[in-house]
Amino acid sequence: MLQKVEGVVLKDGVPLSDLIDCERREVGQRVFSDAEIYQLELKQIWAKTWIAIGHETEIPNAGDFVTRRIGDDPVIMVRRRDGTVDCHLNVCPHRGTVVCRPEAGNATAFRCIYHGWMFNLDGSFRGLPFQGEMYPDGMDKSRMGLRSAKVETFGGIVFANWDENAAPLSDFLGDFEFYLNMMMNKTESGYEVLGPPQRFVINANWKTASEQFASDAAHANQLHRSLADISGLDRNNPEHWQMYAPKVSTPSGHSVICFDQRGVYETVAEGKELSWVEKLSIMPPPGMSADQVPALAKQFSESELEFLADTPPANGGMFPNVGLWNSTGFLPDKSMAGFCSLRTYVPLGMDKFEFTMWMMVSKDASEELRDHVRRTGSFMQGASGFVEGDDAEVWPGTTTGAVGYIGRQNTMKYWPMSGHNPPENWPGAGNVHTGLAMDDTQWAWWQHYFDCLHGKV
Amino acid sequence: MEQPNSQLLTDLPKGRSDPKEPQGKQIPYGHSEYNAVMHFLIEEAHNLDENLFGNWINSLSEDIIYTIPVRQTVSRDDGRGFYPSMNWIYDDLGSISFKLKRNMESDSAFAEDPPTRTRRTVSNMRLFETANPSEFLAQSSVLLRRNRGDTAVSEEISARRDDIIRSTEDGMKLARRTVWLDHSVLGMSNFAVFI
Repeated sequence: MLQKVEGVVLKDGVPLSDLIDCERREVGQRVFSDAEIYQLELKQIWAKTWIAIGHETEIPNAGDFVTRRIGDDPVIMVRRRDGTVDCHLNVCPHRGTVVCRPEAGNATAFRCIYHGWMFNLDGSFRGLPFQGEMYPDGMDKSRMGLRSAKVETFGGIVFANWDENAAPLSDFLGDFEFYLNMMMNKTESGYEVLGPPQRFVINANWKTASEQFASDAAHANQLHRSLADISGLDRNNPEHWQMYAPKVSTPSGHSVICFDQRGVYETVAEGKELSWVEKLSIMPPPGMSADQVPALAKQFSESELEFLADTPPANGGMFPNVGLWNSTGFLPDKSMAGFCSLRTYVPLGMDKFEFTMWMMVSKDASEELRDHVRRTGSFMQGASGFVEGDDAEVWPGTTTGAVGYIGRQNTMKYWPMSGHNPPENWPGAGNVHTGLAMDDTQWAWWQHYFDCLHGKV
Repeated sequence: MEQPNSQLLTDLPKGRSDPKEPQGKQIPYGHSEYNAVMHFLIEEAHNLDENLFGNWINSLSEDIIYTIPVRQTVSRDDGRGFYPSMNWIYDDLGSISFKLKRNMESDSAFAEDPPTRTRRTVSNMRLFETANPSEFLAQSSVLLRRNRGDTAVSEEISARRDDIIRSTEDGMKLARRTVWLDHSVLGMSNFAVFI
């Protein structure tokens, strides 16, 4: 647990530790509007933590690249000739302009348009015009390459980290690896993106979205209550909104809601006991079709498969800025398709962020399933999603509320807690919270956030 | 995937498709058919701007496919950067009706309640015959400005639209729309309105 630390004091004399009150479980809303805190985040989080920047399948061939951001820094995600994925700062070490200007493409090398410095795919310096005449005594090529971040992948998701001394990705994933594995590694060949992500800018601090995606299960029946007006959902029945679904939090701030599907099976089976194959054939995992279900046995143990059928890890987030939404979606004609989406919240200064969203399917998915996921995904999620569009209304509001002299004195309350109370035979790790949706997971996110700002991570 | 306006697409890497010039005979500005289609597009923009969603839905064909593919910034040599394999919107009549029904019948469709104020300007229409005598291909430019809440600055989207407009006994119907955005990053916090 986080202890109050007197280390960091903001310029106006307020200790950072005052902005998180561990006894009351409150967070000062000032964290959404304070430029000094933002600079601290760039240093302590974005330059030190594993940051998801994309998916391997966006760049299948050697030389394929996409440009992204880590915090405020532009980067290039590129596949080298040997097949590994690199991440380089997209800033020329010579005179500092952006080197790679297209957002995607294939390159044999990167050439800066300004003075023509060239870089290999691995970021190393390759050459410059008239170099013999300009540098007759030779050059220190070790200082002439693109700066590179460490890169590791899990389930195809590409994570980058600027900190040379960072602990490996597996440490960062920790207890969450069990759940992420279940979301991203369901088939032998893995998942792939349907195409480039939706990218759109929201006038809000990046944390408003990210802390909500830290498994806030209490907002669904309120913010998304319009669903009740146009479907069979009962606004006052928590079970209709996955409010009793088990939630998992980890000390690293990652969390997930494991949707409880058992009620659906009971309705369908009319009292008959169903096997995991039967259950998952009724409601195939996101990005998969029923014919792919038996092959799940190659990936998971029997108890994991029961778990995947009954309480699949569905909706959650990873610290600092990843949102994962893997669940069964529907279309108005009642047809269902499980969508598998990855999103990142990329800060563009204190009061804006880019919402980046990829849709994924298993690589073996049929054209029919891909089309279904395409439709269901954009119908419910992302910019035009009738569910997520309402989320994008509250994030700017929270940011606006944090600007005023009085408003920024407000504290956000994370009072109700379930504690660690896992169901029997729970196969996964982490702190497991059952009962009505409470604030454990989001509070864990904030605790980790403050640990990072204090340099304790 | 059913390729929208397949007659417009060229062969590109997996998932990629850029618009290309129409092959059909062009119907000139001022021609009676041109006037009728332009009239249809003007009425349509009015229905959307004035929240007359029932009127708009009645102007759609039952088999309508409405798509807005995502776009990337790519080098000139790499084409236009469109990816119909991933969309901002990919709707049929059922999903369009569902979304608009939510706006109209729920008091909790917060993305559009309070409603945003929109103005669609449709111009530069180019009209072409297609292989089907009852269908026209209409290319138009559209500028959507959207103002919301108490913000002084409006959000803006500009795009080319490729529409298949079908002449029926019940009047003209929009049978297919592909919106080719001028944006790779959208400056709008949601896409809860149609273009």
